Amino acid sequence: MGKLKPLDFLAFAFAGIITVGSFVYAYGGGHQSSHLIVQAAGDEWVYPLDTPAELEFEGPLGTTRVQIQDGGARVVSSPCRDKICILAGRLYEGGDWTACLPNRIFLKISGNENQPVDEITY
Amino acid sequence: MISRAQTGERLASLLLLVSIISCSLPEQKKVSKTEFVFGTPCTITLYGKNSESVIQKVFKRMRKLDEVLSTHRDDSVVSDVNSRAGSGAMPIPEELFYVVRRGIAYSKLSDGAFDLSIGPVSKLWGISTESPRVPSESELRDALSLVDYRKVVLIEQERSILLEKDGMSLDFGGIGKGYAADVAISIVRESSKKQALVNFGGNVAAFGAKPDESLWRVGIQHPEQPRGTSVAILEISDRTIVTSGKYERFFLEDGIRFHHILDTTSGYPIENGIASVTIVTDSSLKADALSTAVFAMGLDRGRELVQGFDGVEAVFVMEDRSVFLTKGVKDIFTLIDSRYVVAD
Repeated sequence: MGKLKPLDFLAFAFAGIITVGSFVYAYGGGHQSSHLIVQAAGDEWVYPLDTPAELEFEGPLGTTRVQIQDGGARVVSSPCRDKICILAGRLYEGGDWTACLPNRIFLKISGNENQPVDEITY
Repeated sequence: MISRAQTGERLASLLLLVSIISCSLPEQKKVSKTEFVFGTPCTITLYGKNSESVIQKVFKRMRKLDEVLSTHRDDSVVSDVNSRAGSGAMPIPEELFYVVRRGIAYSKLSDGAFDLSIGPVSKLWGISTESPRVPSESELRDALSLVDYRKVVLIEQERSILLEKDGMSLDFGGIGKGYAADVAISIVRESSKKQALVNFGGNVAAFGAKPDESLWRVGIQHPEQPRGTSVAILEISDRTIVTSGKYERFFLEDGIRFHHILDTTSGYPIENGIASVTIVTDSSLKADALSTAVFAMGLDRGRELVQGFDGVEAVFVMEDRSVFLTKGVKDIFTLIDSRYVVAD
């Protein structure tokens, strides 16, 4: 019966690292960072949530202003009547979203999508 | 006899094999896209290869459908039909013919509580527009005289439609997105995908289960909390869930809240103690029409209507924070907000 040699241990350790690493990559989700996705006027923009920004988007009614701060985003003003988009408050978790339907602006947080639900019926 | 070195090599090979299998998992990568169609955000979520191209195909089809069914576009086929009300029959595309036929069927089943000819009344209120207003009694009376699904006539031989009275108009707000969700799922199915989740303005349709074979978790919008907060969760596969809620579209005037679900007899927003009705079934068009009809009919009559269908379930969230469930939905329902109580 032969003994295990140092190279066998090395191969064994290498395979183990690759296996564990692959599972962490596939299932961990930790490699994703959160982003704000904005859809307006038929285009889509993506912004990192870790960089503060003041953004403006043009829709059929005028300008919708969005603020990114402290790892979250919120609509600060929009030319719609009911301001439902503003009332949604701060978006910061993957899957959080709001929309200004009259001005056709849609905001959603991507990445780290660990929401308890896949979709919401409303 | 296998040496320890050979055992080590085999173990290493096995781990590498597992590693290779796990590396193939990104094939099930989630792809989710949202576009504005039908005047509302529409999201499609797919997994695996070619998801982007299938999603593009679905959205292309949805934009075509919007050209047919939209009542917000002057150039849609439905706008054309409405503009010719009272002036003879008009040939229409097969798809519109089908949706109108189903709409008339649900109008009959609900005894007019859902009526696809509600257009004149919903136009008066303008709740989905930038200038909603409370109409006068006489305006409502005039508009209501034009609401009658029995005066929407389909002529099979010519595949044409006739709106008998001048001023009548069809409104697909209570049925169009549901039909669209059904079409989207059928496109995904034809593309050989094994699962999909679509959400067209709150109309959710699930095809299959999730890639890990778990069920889709669909939240029911909380009537008192900001958009995106769930009052309860339903777990489904191969089902569609549609909700009619009075919190969804509304406007305030003199401190009074006027919402978008209109009584087809009085013309006013319905106030019957229901905050929302959620329908769970196999067809999104059916769920869309029934959610409006059941909301309008109220808890008792609405429950009776639902129980008359096979494979249709309902969740009633009441303004007093009680929740009523039909029998078949209890096993897939989880209440989130403990201030609400499931009634027996």
